[in-house]
Amino acid sequence: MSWAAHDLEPYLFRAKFGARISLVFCLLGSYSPDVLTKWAVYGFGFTHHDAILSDPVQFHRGWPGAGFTHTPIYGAAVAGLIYLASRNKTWAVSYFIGALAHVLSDSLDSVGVMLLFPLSTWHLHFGAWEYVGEVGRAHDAVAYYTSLGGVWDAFWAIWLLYYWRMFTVTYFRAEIVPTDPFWDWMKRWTNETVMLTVYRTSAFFGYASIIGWYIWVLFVNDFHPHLDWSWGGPQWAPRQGPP
Amino acid sequence: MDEPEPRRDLRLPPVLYWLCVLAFAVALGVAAPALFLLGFWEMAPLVFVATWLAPKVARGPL
Repeated sequence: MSWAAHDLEPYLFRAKFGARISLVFCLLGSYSPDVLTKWAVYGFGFTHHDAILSDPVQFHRGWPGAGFTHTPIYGAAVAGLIYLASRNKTWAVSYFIGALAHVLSDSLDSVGVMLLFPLSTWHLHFGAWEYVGEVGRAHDAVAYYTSLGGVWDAFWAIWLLYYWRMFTVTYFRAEIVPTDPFWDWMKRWTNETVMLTVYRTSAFFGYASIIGWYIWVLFVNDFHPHLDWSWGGPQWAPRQGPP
Repeated sequence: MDEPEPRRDLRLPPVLYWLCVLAFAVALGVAAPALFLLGFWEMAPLVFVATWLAPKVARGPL
């Protein structure tokens, strides 16, 4: 699984494709595969794993289970519903691109995603880093940010720095608000401070979490606080393939 | 009579202001990762306050 990449990828798509992408709907698509499932994978608590599910991996990425949320067909189906409800092609396409980016990012871990579902339950998995969600939030954070997963997050964060001007008030007023009717709708209910908060929070969180997790994992935490950029790392993590 | 000296603008450059906000967020996250580093919604109140304060504390819009 990926962490801050899901927060940052939609901003890159907005920066590269301009008004053809609705940032809000791209973010919704990017978050949607995990929004109803990831809390159950981790169980309760942060440092101690109080399991909810007997087989979190099967639930999160498998079938039977909620693994269908990590498939292109799921993103396409929800995008279709968005189009039917709104008649806005940009919103639907943006949602689909966000969801697809999530699916492809998650194919980089050792469990992967059912790319061809419902035709097949075969998992596309590159195994660049180990899937460690089943051992809880804290150990997953250590595993992810000491492995190539953290590098994947950092890659998006560094690339997005090139487009830092997109976070300015000027850019928001001139390029974002006039090109997406979502912001017109929001303007009727609230003020610009709230709108800017909605616009910026995911990116701000992405940067704060990458830096914060790296510091916590390497200098505060004492559980395997070492970088392991080997393919399939970290090597201490239990091996977990597709369900 | 001497002209009164113009008051110095002590507000921060906007980039520096947001870097300070980011450093504060990182410090919160490192101190309590379970409260600040698990989801974007945990940072929303801080981003809201920082956005609201920006015109008062920073020299220009960012």
